[in-house]
Amino acid sequence: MYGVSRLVIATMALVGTFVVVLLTAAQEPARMERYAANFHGREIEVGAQLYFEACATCHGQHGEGLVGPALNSADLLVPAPGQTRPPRLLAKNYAGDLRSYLEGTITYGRPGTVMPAWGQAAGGPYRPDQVSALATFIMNWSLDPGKQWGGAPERVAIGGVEPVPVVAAVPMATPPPRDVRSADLGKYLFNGPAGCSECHTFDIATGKTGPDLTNIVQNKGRDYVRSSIVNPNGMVAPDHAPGIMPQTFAFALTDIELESIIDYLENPAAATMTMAATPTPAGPLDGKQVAQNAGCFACHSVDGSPMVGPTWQGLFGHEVELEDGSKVVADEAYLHESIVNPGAKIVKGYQNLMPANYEQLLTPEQITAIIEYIKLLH
Amino acid sequence: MVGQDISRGLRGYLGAKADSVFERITAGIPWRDFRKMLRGDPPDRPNPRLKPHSESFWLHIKPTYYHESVTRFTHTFRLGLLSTYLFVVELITGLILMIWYAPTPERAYADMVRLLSNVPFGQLMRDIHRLGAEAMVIVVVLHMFRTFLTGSYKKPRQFTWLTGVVLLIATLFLSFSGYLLPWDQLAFWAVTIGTSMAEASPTPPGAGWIGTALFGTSDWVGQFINLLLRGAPDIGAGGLLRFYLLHVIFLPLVVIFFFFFHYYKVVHFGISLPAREEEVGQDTANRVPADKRRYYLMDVAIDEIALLSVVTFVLVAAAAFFYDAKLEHIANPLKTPLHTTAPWYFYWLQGLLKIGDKVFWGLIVPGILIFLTFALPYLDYNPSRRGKDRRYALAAGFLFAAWIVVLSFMGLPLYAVQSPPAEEVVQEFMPEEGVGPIREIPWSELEIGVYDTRTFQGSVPYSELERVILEFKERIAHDPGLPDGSGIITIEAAGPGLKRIKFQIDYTDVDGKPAQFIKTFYLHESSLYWEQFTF
Repeated sequence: MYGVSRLVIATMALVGTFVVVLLTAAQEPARMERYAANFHGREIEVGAQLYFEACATCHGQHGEGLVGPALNSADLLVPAPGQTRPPRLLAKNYAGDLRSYLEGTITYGRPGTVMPAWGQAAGGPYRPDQVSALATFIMNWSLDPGKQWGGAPERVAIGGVEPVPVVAAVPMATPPPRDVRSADLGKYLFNGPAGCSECHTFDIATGKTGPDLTNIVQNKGRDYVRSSIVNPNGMVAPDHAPGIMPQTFAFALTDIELESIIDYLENPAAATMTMAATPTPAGPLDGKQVAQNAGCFACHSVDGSPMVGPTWQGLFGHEVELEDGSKVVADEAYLHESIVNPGAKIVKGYQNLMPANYEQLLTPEQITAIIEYIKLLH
Repeated sequence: MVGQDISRGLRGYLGAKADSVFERITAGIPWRDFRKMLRGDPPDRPNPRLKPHSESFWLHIKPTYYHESVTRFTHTFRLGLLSTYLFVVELITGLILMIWYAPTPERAYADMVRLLSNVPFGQLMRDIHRLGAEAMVIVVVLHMFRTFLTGSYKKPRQFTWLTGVVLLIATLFLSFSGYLLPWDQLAFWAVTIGTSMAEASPTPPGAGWIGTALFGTSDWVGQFINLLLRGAPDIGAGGLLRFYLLHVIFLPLVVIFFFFFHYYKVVHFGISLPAREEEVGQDTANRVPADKRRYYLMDVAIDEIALLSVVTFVLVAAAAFFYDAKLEHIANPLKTPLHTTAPWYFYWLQGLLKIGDKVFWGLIVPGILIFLTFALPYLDYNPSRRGKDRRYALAAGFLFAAWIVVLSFMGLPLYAVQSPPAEEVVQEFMPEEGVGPIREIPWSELEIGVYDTRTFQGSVPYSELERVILEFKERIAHDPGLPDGSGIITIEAAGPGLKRIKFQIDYTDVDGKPAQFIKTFYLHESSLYWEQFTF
């Protein structure tokens, strides 16, 4: 008689294994749920880290909205009565859900505004999982939209809490002439339309996203500053991430405007103009303004000069040769299609680079206004 | 035939049919003897239990009997069988894991999260796979060491040893190549470190012109190997795919190929007898006297089955209750973790690298070591396998093992380059990855407030938070790197179910100036760290 004790051991071990598997099976649903919760929590933590690093400057420490729109608000986060989507998405005629709206906006930015593209898909610094974590963090506010959570002491002084000044939007000045080089124009652009001051200051202590610009021209020279504006990723200051600064300034600024900004940076005191608030004009939509805000002019010229995209001058009503050699007449339907679905017809000699999300970004009225403006340029 | 069966009646006919089916399943052992076999009775004559060794595929590679001396557990500890078994376990669990995995940076990590949060037994499979891999490295190394101690690598088994070294190296790389696949911080940085060791490979003198002609640099070998491994200058989609293919196809094929070499040699030469049982220079493993035979069926087979059952139980139970293969944050090429390490079985290499020059200690010395390991049976000309005749060889072996242990110890993260003291303190209390004392406190007990170590007293009985803050206070007060150190922990609400935990440490730096270290964390209610680690 051999092997009986060994067989007993083997049998016990197999039964034991089976019992362990059964025990695990019994705990599996709870275990999976716990892991999902853990991951959800971790995602919000990652999103919070990113939000307070990069987004809070413009959207506020509480998401209340400063330069950028409010994010911690019911009109973005809570479905409208009887609807599946919140009012802000409905107002924009956005067809997707809230998550895709947030992720799309973060990834591609808002062309024509100071909101840069943050997603790597659009040349920004964040991977898709980081964009997704940000969206999860923002959507977490929906549990209690609008509530201001805690204080936000940026630095705790030894022995006590120091309140942090809330970043206020800089009021706009009356525009100086855009075609005359002046430090005034530089100051106006810096604090206004170009949006530089959203991220840059002359004071290291306020700790904004971009590098401190005190004496930047004296220290680095005009060429460095110029190249950093038109090609922000060429040289990145230590402790700052590449890809955050918009790369469209080369198109958006004229030479005069660019030099004016550098003049202003070289000697801020030279700009004597005072800043004053200008009311936003209300009234019928100005197609040129809409196009400007939507960032169209980053790629399309209106004077016939070649840029990344085809020029708008003399476009309407004329024949356009497409990639495949066929020709179409640029009528209203063609323009509309080219705005909402840019990939459908590609003009010969150009590439399919245009963002495909203008239908979501613009209202139908805004699209019509742009088309009306292009019609004027025939 | 049919007539004869019918003449024995229906019962006889069915009985004969059942017997023939049974014998086809047992590859020739009739039911009567099978029962005797299970009961441990001696076989009939002629022995029907030899038939399966020629009839069946799985048993034809097994010897029909062993010398009783080599079947004693303490002679081999069955480490060879164990490593083979662990390889099979890895194959099976690996195949299951492959179902939920796509090797691209966009999907790999999300797939891991899905596996862990949405696949029944997903975590168990992953834990077994990971634990089995670590166990396999240990078992294979021990197997080699046992072979060294018993002198079993000597003539005629030199080539068996050599294939074994190939299997050892393949096992190490199999384990290492699997490291990258979860695409988390741990994976990414361990493999970055591992492959950057390859980058140190020197270009042989006189070969520089090849690089100048092809790659525009004369120091090309290291870069070329690196490029070959990573598929790009840095680890990315290409590197992940390459490591995946190495892990699931190439290296397993190498292991399977050399396993058959290795095992064929083992069976061909037999397992070497204990040295004292034969004359020096003789090899009598294959001449087993009839009274010393232990048959594989069913005696040795039961040994093996019992051992493997127990190992399976230990492995599954350990994976289910004690071992947890961590998944850190997703790989972030822009953020190097505070402490990056290679896998533990490469600590010795990290230790070597700390001695000095990267090329000499990181490449030439390990290269010589690997060469010596391969060449051992051909260099050791002493024919005796007896311990008293091999004093120098054994001493060298133990010294070598001790050296590897010391090197591994030097390679421990503990002896890694330390960050500034203040950063280390924060890392201890709230590590970037994993849990740490603060996260172990239930979220609801992290009371909002500003806790300054210079004034903080707490009140008895201490809450968990108070206890941790007092620990923090002690830790800063006794850190020689933080003169006049004090810390402030600020806990505040940062969103629904979200708290911001900010560490601030003030101290006097080496220049006698006041310095400050600040680090902010966020903690969400549903991250449940405390629950997972207090079960």
